[in-house]
Amino acid sequence: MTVIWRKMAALVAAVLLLTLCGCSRNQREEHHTIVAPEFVPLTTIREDQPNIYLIVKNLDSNYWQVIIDAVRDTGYDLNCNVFYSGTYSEVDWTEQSKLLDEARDSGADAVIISPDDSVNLAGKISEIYRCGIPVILVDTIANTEDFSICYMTDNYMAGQQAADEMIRSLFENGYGDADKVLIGIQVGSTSSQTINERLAGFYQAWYDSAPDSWEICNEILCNDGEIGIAEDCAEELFDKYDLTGVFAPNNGSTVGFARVIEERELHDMVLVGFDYSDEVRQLVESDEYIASTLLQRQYDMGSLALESALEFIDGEETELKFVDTGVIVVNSSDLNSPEVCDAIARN
Amino acid sequence: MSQVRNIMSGKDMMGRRFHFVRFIVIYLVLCIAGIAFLAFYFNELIVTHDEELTTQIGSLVAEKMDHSIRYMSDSVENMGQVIDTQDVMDTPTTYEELIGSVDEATYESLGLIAPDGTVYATEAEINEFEKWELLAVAEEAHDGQVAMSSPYRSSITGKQVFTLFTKLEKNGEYAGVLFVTYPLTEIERMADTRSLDSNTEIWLMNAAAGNIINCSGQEDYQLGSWSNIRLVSGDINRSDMDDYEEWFDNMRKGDDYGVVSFNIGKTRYTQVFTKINSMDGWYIVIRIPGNSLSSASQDYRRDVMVFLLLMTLATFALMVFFYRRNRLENELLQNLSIHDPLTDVLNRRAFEVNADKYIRQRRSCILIFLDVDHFKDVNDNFGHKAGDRVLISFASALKTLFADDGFVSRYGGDEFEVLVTGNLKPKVVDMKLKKIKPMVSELLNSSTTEGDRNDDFSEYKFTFSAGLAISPDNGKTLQELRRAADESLYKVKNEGRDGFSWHS
Repeated sequence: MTVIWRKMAALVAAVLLLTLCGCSRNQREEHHTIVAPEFVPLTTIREDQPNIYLIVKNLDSNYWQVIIDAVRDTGYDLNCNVFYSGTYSEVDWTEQSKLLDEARDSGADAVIISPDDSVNLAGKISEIYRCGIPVILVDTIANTEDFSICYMTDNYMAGQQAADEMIRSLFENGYGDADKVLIGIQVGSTSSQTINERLAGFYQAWYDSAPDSWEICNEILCNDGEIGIAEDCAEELFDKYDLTGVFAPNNGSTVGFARVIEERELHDMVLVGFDYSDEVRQLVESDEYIASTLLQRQYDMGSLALESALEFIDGEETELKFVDTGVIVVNSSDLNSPEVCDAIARN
Repeated sequence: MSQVRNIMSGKDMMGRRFHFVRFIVIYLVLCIAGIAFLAFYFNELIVTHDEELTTQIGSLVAEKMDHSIRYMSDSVENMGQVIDTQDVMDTPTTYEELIGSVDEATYESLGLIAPDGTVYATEAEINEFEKWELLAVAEEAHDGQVAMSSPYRSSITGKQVFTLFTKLEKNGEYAGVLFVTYPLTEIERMADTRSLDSNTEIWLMNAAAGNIINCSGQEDYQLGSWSNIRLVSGDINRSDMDDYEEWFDNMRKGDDYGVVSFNIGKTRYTQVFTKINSMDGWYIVIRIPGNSLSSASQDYRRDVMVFLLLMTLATFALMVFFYRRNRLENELLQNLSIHDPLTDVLNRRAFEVNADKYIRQRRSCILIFLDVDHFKDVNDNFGHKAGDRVLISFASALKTLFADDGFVSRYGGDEFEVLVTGNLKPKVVDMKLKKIKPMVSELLNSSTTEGDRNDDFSEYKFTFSAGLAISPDNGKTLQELRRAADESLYKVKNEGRDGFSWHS
């Protein structure tokens, strides 16, 4: 009998526990932050020259190296001291926030920054701007009015151009209005305004121009700015869905798709991505794959940003606060056009 | 007690316990089912409440937005009407006068489009027309109908803006279009409210593309950020995705409003869309976590559930307590009603009931009728307490020898009965009977009785007489067996006592 009582007590306790506490599984995604390095000179430092601090999103990326090169070249041309640093992942906005503080404390006359997070970093950018330091944004805008000027791709429009390129490429490769088309998407971040605006532009142009039977997959995967995860996301999308094409609104996602497309030899897969990584270059240059990529004019962004920084230090004003440096669509058919060649040379 | 357990055995006791356990299990299952039903019912009420409340909030915000856009549209229309009434006919002059007379703080930019399509504005504004194909939107302006562009990023300010267009007429003839560009924050701020929980999200949403513009947040710079509905739905629990997709499809079909509830992790959200009538294809979407709307109800539900569970536990504990106490009392009463209080063997009535029942089952048994020899002398010479001790010791010896194989009972006075129900052979019974005398003598000599005239049994020699009868040979009822055993007993007594005899 004692056993029965014990069993009953255990049953009641279990019911109580289940009812009161419930069952939970704590799922956490961790992102590893790498501490940003200290600012280092990019030009020859002279005391009588203005100090300009450059903060980029990714120190390991070819794309950002072009901007660094542009700022360095222009810095030598215009005789100014340029210091630079940045993060190793395009989502480490907290490290960029620390770098902004460091730039201000080091006596920056102007700051050129590409914010890792348009929303979360807006407060810090505003704080620096209100200290009287001109803030020039490159590549990505911050969600605040407190900046001097922004040189970047109009990402909404770039997204629309990407959708137009995808539609053109699909038609060119034999897909008709009545054919079933499914497009997969992965992104590098869900809070990056650059990515979100490209995505918004892509969707808008797609629904404006694509045939009704052509659809975009409802599931969008996020790789948190990690190339390895981007490859995993690409694998997952290819495994789960019968995709006709894929769209990547940022460099890391494009690399992830490009690697898996090449690895699996997906010759009929239409890829539209951004920037000119080695991986996407190989696909664009190959006759066996259908790939397009949108090149930003990041050299122009860096160069114009430094010119503007000096103008703002001199107290000049500008009518425009937002300058769209535009994109160039690169695909196998116009690979040899002068404009594309020039853009590729600067990438 | 062991004989009681034997008699009440087994099946009856287990039967009662089994009934009680079954009752308790049914009771607990009913209680838990009731509580589960109540919890489910509460949840349904809360979800319904949240959906209704969110729908109302959505309607209110959409109304605010409509009013705001209408106000801006009316302003543009009124400006157009003022221009219509002026004497100046050519567009360039009208533009110059317009720029000089309007307060710049109220708009981002403004200008005129001549009937031939020429745009009169700053160079930067003209570039915006080309970039965003705004002339196509301007053509949508009709009599009394202001056309509105989709939001776009202004090169002049870097901010999201939208442009309103109204048709101009002079003397009944088409005289071009007036356009005014406003910052999108004018609309976003209409939706933003600090009175709702900071976790509440409010979006402007384009139904076709699923693009959303954030209109809420604790910080100003959270306003105006873009995203897409598919990006912000990635965390929704898979079981709710079908409802969510249906909700989105209904928006794309053009429904005026729609509501959906879903979970992200453990948090329940209610999301509602409401059409903005004055902004074609755009909706206001509000996503509110359940704990913001119904925290009081959820607290109440939790308290009620805990109270009911505790009540269930308390009643369960009380029932168990009373059952056990009742069982102990019953056992005590039963014990008292069937036992001889002095010797703790069965009383005569209990013995007769059980022995009769046993014998009627036509099972073989032996009835032994015993009495203490010269018991009256014990009482007279040693006192009544000593006599009681003799009876207790005698009964104890009988229980030790026969309790496992039958029933022992006090018939009355110094007379005892034993019904041997096991398959004991007469020889074994004989051997057991022979052990009685030494056992009783040992018992008597190993203890004393306080206050008695004489507690020394050294001079007392215990003897007993017994008659035995076998069923069914000597009788098929208890009465017949008793008669036979009694005859054997008298035979022993007549022969001088201190012995036992089988009925022949």
